[in-house]
Amino acid sequence: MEHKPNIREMAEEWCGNYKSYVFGFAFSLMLTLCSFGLVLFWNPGKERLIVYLIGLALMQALVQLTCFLHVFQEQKPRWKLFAFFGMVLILFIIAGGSFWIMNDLNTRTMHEMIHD
Amino acid sequence: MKSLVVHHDSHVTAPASTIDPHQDSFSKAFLGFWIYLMSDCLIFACLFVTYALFQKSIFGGPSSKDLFELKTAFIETFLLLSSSVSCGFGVIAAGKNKRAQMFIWLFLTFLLGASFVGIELSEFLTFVHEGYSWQTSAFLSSFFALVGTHGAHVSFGLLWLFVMLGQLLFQGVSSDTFRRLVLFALFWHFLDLIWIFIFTFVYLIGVI
Repeated sequence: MEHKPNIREMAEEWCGNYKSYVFGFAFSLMLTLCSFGLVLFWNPGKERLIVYLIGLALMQALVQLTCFLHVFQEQKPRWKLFAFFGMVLILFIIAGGSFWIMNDLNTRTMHEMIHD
Repeated sequence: MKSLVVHHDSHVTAPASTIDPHQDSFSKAFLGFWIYLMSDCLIFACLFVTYALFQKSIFGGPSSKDLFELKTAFIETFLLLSSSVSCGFGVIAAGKNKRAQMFIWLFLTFLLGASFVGIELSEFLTFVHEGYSWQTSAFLSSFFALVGTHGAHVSFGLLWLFVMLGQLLFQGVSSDTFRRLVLFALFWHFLDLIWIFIFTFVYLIGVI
Protein backbone atom coordinates (compact mmCIF):
# COMPACT_ATOMS: atom_id res chain seq x y z
CA MET A 1 0.00 0.00 0.00
CA GLU A 2 1.65 3.13 -1.21
CA HIS A 3 2.11 5.93 1.25
CA LYS A 4 0.35 9.13 0.22
CA PRO A 5 2.12 11.97 1.98
CA ASN A 6 0.37 14.94 3.50
CA ILE A 7 1.14 18.49 2.50
CA ARG A 8 3.60 19.12 5.29
CA GLU A 9 5.74 16.13 4.25
CA MET A 10 5.65 17.20 0.61
CA ALA A 11 6.57 20.77 1.50
CA GLU A 12 9.51 19.46 3.54
CA GLU A 13 10.76 17.35 0.66
CA TRP A 14 10.48 20.30 -1.66
CA CYS A 15 12.82 22.24 0.70
CA GLY A 16 11.67 25.66 -0.38
CA ASN A 17 11.98 28.63 1.89
CA TYR A 18 11.72 32.37 1.29
CA LYS A 19 15.43 32.97 1.83
CA SER A 20 16.61 30.71 -0.98
CA TYR A 21 14.29 32.38 -3.50
CA VAL A 22 15.24 35.92 -2.46
CA PHE A 23 18.92 35.05 -2.55
CA GLY A 24 18.52 33.30 -5.90
CA PHE A 25 16.67 36.28 -7.31
CA ALA A 26 19.30 38.78 -6.16
CA PHE A 27 22.22 36.66 -7.34
CA SER A 28 20.59 35.88 -10.72
CA LEU A 29 19.73 39.53 -11.30
CA MET A 30 23.28 40.56 -10.47
CA LEU A 31 24.74 37.99 -12.87
CA THR A 32 22.30 39.09 -15.58
CA LEU A 33 23.29 42.73 -15.10
CA CYS A 34 26.96 41.71 -15.29
CA SER A 35 26.34 39.90 -18.59
CA PHE A 36 24.47 42.80 -20.16
CA GLY A 37 26.97 45.27 -18.75
CA LEU A 38 29.90 43.35 -20.20
CA VAL A 39 28.34 43.42 -23.66
CA LEU A 40 27.35 47.08 -23.51
CA PHE A 41 30.38 48.61 -21.82
CA TRP A 42 33.40 46.37 -22.32
CA ASN A 43 35.29 45.45 -25.46
CA PRO A 44 38.01 42.91 -24.73
CA GLY A 45 37.79 41.09 -28.03
CA LYS A 46 35.08 38.72 -29.18
CA GLU A 47 36.54 35.44 -27.97
CA ARG A 48 37.25 36.60 -24.42
CA LEU A 49 33.85 38.21 -24.12
CA ILE A 50 32.11 35.02 -25.22
CA VAL A 51 34.06 32.99 -22.65
CA TYR A 52 33.05 35.38 -19.86
CA LEU A 53 29.41 35.38 -20.96
CA ILE A 54 29.31 31.58 -20.99
CA GLY A 55 30.92 31.55 -17.54
CA LEU A 56 28.32 33.97 -16.17
CA ALA A 57 25.51 31.94 -17.74
CA LEU A 58 26.79 28.71 -16.15
CA MET A 59 27.09 30.45 -12.78
CA GLN A 60 23.53 31.69 -13.01
CA ALA A 61 22.34 28.23 -14.05
CA LEU A 62 24.01 26.78 -10.93
CA VAL A 63 22.43 29.46 -8.75
CA GLN A 64 18.99 28.72 -10.13
CA LEU A 65 19.51 24.95 -9.88
CA THR A 66 20.40 25.35 -6.20
CA CYS A 67 18.06 28.11 -5.05
CA PHE A 68 14.98 27.47 -7.20
CA LEU A 69 15.16 23.78 -8.07
CA HIS A 70 16.98 22.58 -4.91
CA VAL A 71 18.83 19.92 -6.90
CA PHE A 72 21.73 19.60 -4.46
CA GLN A 73 19.57 19.49 -1.33
CA GLU A 74 17.96 16.17 -2.08
CA GLN A 75 18.02 13.43 0.53
CA LYS A 76 19.93 10.25 -0.23
CA PRO A 77 19.50 8.37 -2.56
CA ARG A 78 19.81 11.32 -4.86
CA TRP A 79 17.88 10.13 -7.91
CA LYS A 80 17.20 13.60 -9.35
CA LEU A 81 20.89 14.50 -9.16
CA PHE A 82 21.70 11.21 -10.86
CA ALA A 83 19.22 11.94 -13.67
CA PHE A 84 20.62 15.46 -13.98
CA PHE A 85 24.21 14.30 -14.41
CA GLY A 86 23.05 11.66 -16.89
CA MET A 87 21.40 14.41 -18.91
CA VAL A 88 24.54 16.57 -18.76
CA LEU A 89 26.65 13.68 -20.03
CA ILE A 90 24.34 13.05 -22.97
CA LEU A 91 24.25 16.79 -23.62
CA PHE A 92 28.03 16.97 -23.84
CA ILE A 93 28.07 14.05 -26.24
CA ILE A 94 25.34 15.52 -28.48
CA ALA A 95 26.43 19.16 -28.40
CA GLY A 96 30.17 18.58 -28.34
CA GLY A 97 29.94 15.87 -30.95
CA SER A 98 27.81 18.01 -33.27
CA PHE A 99 30.18 20.94 -32.98
CA TRP A 100 33.18 18.74 -33.65
CA ILE A 101 31.61 17.06 -36.66
CA MET A 102 30.26 20.24 -38.22
CA ASN A 103 33.47 22.16 -37.69
CA ASP A 104 35.41 19.32 -39.24
CA LEU A 105 33.06 19.27 -42.23
CA ASN A 106 33.35 23.04 -42.48
CA THR A 107 37.10 22.91 -42.84
CA ARG A 108 36.84 20.20 -45.48
CA THR A 109 34.53 22.12 -47.85
CA MET A 110 36.24 25.04 -49.56
CA HIS A 111 33.52 27.40 -48.35
CA GLU A 112 35.81 30.44 -48.35
CA MET A 113 36.07 30.18 -52.11
CA ILE A 114 32.30 30.27 -52.67
CA HIS A 115 30.97 33.75 -53.20
CA ASP A 116 27.46 34.66 -52.05
CA MET B 1 6.07 -31.03 14.44
CA LYS B 2 9.07 -29.60 12.83
CA SER B 3 9.04 -25.83 12.56
CA LEU B 4 10.51 -24.38 9.45
CA VAL B 5 13.16 -21.95 10.41
CA VAL B 6 14.67 -19.97 7.60
CA HIS B 7 18.23 -19.05 8.31
CA HIS B 8 19.48 -15.85 6.76
CA ASP B 9 23.11 -15.69 5.88
CA SER B 10 24.13 -12.75 8.01
CA HIS B 11 26.70 -11.24 5.67
CA VAL B 12 24.30 -11.26 2.69
CA THR B 13 21.54 -9.02 4.07
CA ALA B 14 21.58 -5.39 3.00
CA PRO B 15 22.20 -2.79 5.70
CA ALA B 16 19.02 -1.29 7.09
CA SER B 17 20.50 2.20 7.32
CA THR B 18 19.84 3.41 3.74
CA ILE B 19 16.11 2.93 3.37
CA ASP B 20 14.98 4.78 0.27
CA PRO B 21 12.69 7.56 1.50
CA HIS B 22 11.34 8.11 -2.00
CA GLN B 23 8.72 5.37 -2.05
CA ASP B 24 5.63 7.52 -1.80
CA SER B 25 3.38 8.76 -4.58
CA PHE B 26 4.67 12.33 -4.39
CA SER B 27 8.33 11.39 -4.73
CA LYS B 28 7.62 9.11 -7.64
CA ALA B 29 5.60 11.76 -9.47
CA PHE B 30 8.35 14.30 -8.72
CA LEU B 31 11.10 12.06 -10.07
CA GLY B 32 9.07 11.11 -13.14
CA PHE B 33 8.39 14.72 -14.00
CA TRP B 34 12.03 15.58 -13.33
CA ILE B 35 13.14 12.93 -15.84
CA TYR B 36 10.74 14.45 -18.37
CA LEU B 37 12.36 17.86 -17.74
CA MET B 38 15.80 16.33 -18.33
CA SER B 39 14.62 15.01 -21.69
CA ASP B 40 13.23 18.46 -22.48
CA CYS B 41 16.70 19.87 -21.73
CA LEU B 42 18.09 17.60 -24.42
CA ILE B 43 15.52 18.83 -26.93
CA PHE B 44 16.56 22.39 -26.19
CA ALA B 45 20.23 21.39 -26.40
CA CYS B 46 19.66 20.11 -29.95
CA LEU B 47 17.88 23.34 -30.87
CA PHE B 48 20.75 25.34 -29.36
CA VAL B 49 23.38 23.42 -31.32
CA THR B 50 21.39 23.90 -34.53
CA TYR B 51 21.12 27.61 -33.82
CA ALA B 52 24.83 27.91 -33.06
CA LEU B 53 25.77 26.19 -36.29
CA PHE B 54 23.47 28.36 -38.38
CA GLN B 55 24.11 31.68 -36.64
CA LYS B 56 26.18 32.95 -39.56
CA SER B 57 23.99 31.45 -42.31
CA ILE B 58 22.10 34.64 -43.07
CA PHE B 59 21.65 34.07 -46.84
CA GLY B 60 21.84 37.77 -47.63
CA GLY B 61 19.22 38.60 -45.01
CA PRO B 62 19.66 40.26 -41.63
CA SER B 63 22.16 38.96 -39.09
CA SER B 64 21.70 38.69 -35.34
CA LYS B 65 23.45 42.04 -34.94
CA ASP B 66 20.91 43.71 -37.24
CA LEU B 67 17.83 42.28 -35.57
CA PHE B 68 18.20 41.86 -31.81
CA GLU B 69 17.62 44.58 -29.28
CA LEU B 70 19.21 44.16 -25.85
CA LYS B 71 16.57 46.29 -24.18
CA THR B 72 13.86 43.80 -25.15
CA ALA B 73 15.99 40.85 -24.08
CA PHE B 74 16.70 42.39 -20.67
CA ILE B 75 13.03 43.17 -20.01
CA GLU B 76 12.08 39.61 -20.97
CA THR B 77 14.79 38.20 -18.71
CA PHE B 78 13.65 40.31 -15.76
CA LEU B 79 10.01 39.33 -16.29
CA LEU B 80 10.73 35.61 -16.43
CA LEU B 81 13.12 35.68 -13.47
CA SER B 82 10.60 37.58 -11.36
CA SER B 83 7.83 35.18 -12.32
CA SER B 84 10.05 32.26 -11.29
CA VAL B 85 10.57 33.80 -7.85
CA SER B 86 6.90 34.68 -7.38
CA CYS B 87 6.03 31.10 -8.35
CA GLY B 88 8.38 29.84 -5.63
CA PHE B 89 6.76 32.16 -3.10
CA GLY B 90 3.35 30.87 -4.17
CA VAL B 91 4.38 27.27 -3.52
CA ILE B 92 5.74 28.17 -0.08
CA ALA B 93 2.49 29.96 0.77
CA ALA B 94 0.50 26.94 -0.42
CA GLY B 95 2.60 24.66 1.78
CA LYS B 96 1.79 26.84 4.78
CA ASN B 97 -1.89 26.91 3.74
CA LYS B 98 -1.91 30.70 3.40
CA ARG B 99 -4.47 30.83 0.61
CA ALA B 100 -4.65 34.57 0.04
CA GLN B 101 -0.87 34.94 -0.23
CA MET B 102 -0.70 31.91 -2.51
CA PHE B 103 -3.26 33.35 -4.91
CA ILE B 104 -1.53 36.73 -4.98
CA TRP B 105 1.87 35.21 -5.79
CA LEU B 106 0.50 32.79 -8.38
CA PHE B 107 -1.55 35.51 -10.06
CA LEU B 108 1.56 37.69 -10.17
CA THR B 109 3.41 34.75 -11.75
CA PHE B 110 0.74 34.58 -14.42
CA LEU B 111 0.89 38.32 -15.13
CA LEU B 112 4.67 38.33 -15.42
CA GLY B 113 4.68 35.21 -17.60
CA ALA B 114 1.95 36.57 -19.85
CA SER B 115 3.87 39.86 -20.23
CA PHE B 116 6.92 37.86 -21.25
CA VAL B 117 4.96 35.99 -23.92
CA GLY B 118 3.36 39.22 -25.12
CA ILE B 119 6.70 40.98 -25.56
CA GLU B 120 8.22 37.95 -27.27
CA LEU B 121 5.25 37.66 -29.64
CA SER B 122 5.46 41.35 -30.53
CA GLU B 123 9.17 40.91 -31.24
CA PHE B 124 8.43 37.98 -33.55
CA LEU B 125 5.64 39.89 -35.29
CA THR B 126 7.93 42.88 -35.81
CA PHE B 127 10.47 40.65 -37.53
CA VAL B 128 7.82 39.04 -39.72
CA HIS B 129 6.27 42.38 -40.71
CA GLU B 130 9.70 43.67 -41.69
CA GLY B 131 9.89 40.69 -44.02
CA TYR B 132 12.28 38.54 -41.97
CA SER B 133 10.46 35.30 -41.17
CA TRP B 134 11.63 31.74 -40.53
CA GLN B 135 11.66 31.25 -44.30
CA THR B 136 14.27 33.95 -44.88
CA SER B 137 17.44 32.11 -43.88
CA ALA B 138 18.80 29.18 -41.88
CA PHE B 139 19.78 31.62 -39.12
CA LEU B 140 16.20 32.87 -38.81
CA SER B 141 14.73 29.37 -39.09
CA SER B 142 16.85 28.14 -36.19
CA PHE B 143 16.17 31.33 -34.19
CA PHE B 144 12.40 30.97 -34.48
CA ALA B 145 12.64 27.23 -33.76
CA LEU B 146 14.68 27.71 -30.59
CA VAL B 147 13.10 30.81 -29.10
CA GLY B 148 9.67 29.88 -30.42
CA THR B 149 9.83 26.44 -28.78
CA HIS B 150 10.75 28.08 -25.48
CA GLY B 151 7.90 30.56 -25.90
CA ALA B 152 5.50 27.72 -26.67
CA HIS B 153 6.62 25.99 -23.45
CA VAL B 154 5.95 29.18 -21.50
CA SER B 155 2.52 29.53 -23.11
CA PHE B 156 1.53 25.99 -22.20
CA GLY B 157 2.89 26.68 -18.72
CA LEU B 158 0.54 29.65 -18.49
CA LEU B 159 -2.36 27.40 -19.49
CA TRP B 160 -1.33 24.94 -16.76
CA LEU B 161 -1.09 27.79 -14.24
CA PHE B 162 -4.54 29.00 -15.25
CA VAL B 163 -5.94 25.50 -14.64
CA MET B 164 -4.05 25.26 -11.32
CA LEU B 165 -5.51 28.58 -10.16
CA GLY B 166 -8.95 27.19 -10.92
CA GLN B 167 -8.25 23.91 -9.09
CA LEU B 168 -6.82 25.70 -6.08
CA LEU B 169 -9.86 27.98 -6.02
CA PHE B 170 -12.41 25.18 -6.13
CA GLN B 171 -10.59 22.30 -4.40
CA GLY B 172 -8.38 24.27 -2.05
CA VAL B 173 -4.89 23.13 -1.16
CA SER B 174 -5.23 19.35 -0.96
CA SER B 175 -2.37 16.91 -1.18
CA ASP B 176 -3.25 16.37 -4.86
CA THR B 177 -3.41 20.04 -5.82
CA PHE B 178 -0.24 20.78 -3.84
CA ARG B 179 1.61 18.01 -5.64
CA ARG B 180 0.46 19.41 -9.01
CA LEU B 181 1.47 22.92 -7.96
CA VAL B 182 4.96 21.73 -7.05
CA LEU B 183 5.31 20.00 -10.42
CA PHE B 184 4.18 23.20 -12.13
CA ALA B 185 6.79 25.14 -10.16
CA LEU B 186 9.45 22.69 -11.35
CA PHE B 187 8.36 23.29 -14.94
CA TRP B 188 8.34 27.06 -14.51
CA HIS B 189 11.80 27.19 -12.87
CA PHE B 190 13.14 24.96 -15.64
CA LEU B 191 11.87 27.43 -18.28
CA ASP B 192 13.76 30.27 -16.61
CA LEU B 193 16.85 28.06 -16.55
CA ILE B 194 16.60 27.54 -20.33
CA TRP B 195 16.03 31.26 -20.84
CA ILE B 196 19.40 32.01 -19.20
CA PHE B 197 21.06 30.21 -22.09
CA ILE B 198 18.79 31.82 -24.67
CA PHE B 199 19.52 35.37 -23.62
CA THR B 200 23.24 34.59 -23.36
CA PHE B 201 23.80 32.63 -26.56
CA VAL B 202 21.15 34.15 -28.82
CA TYR B 203 20.81 37.77 -27.78
CA LEU B 204 24.06 38.74 -26.03
CA ILE B 205 26.48 36.74 -28.18
CA GLY B 206 24.39 37.60 -31.24
CA VAL B 207 24.89 41.31 -30.70
CA ILE B 208 28.67 41.46 -30.13
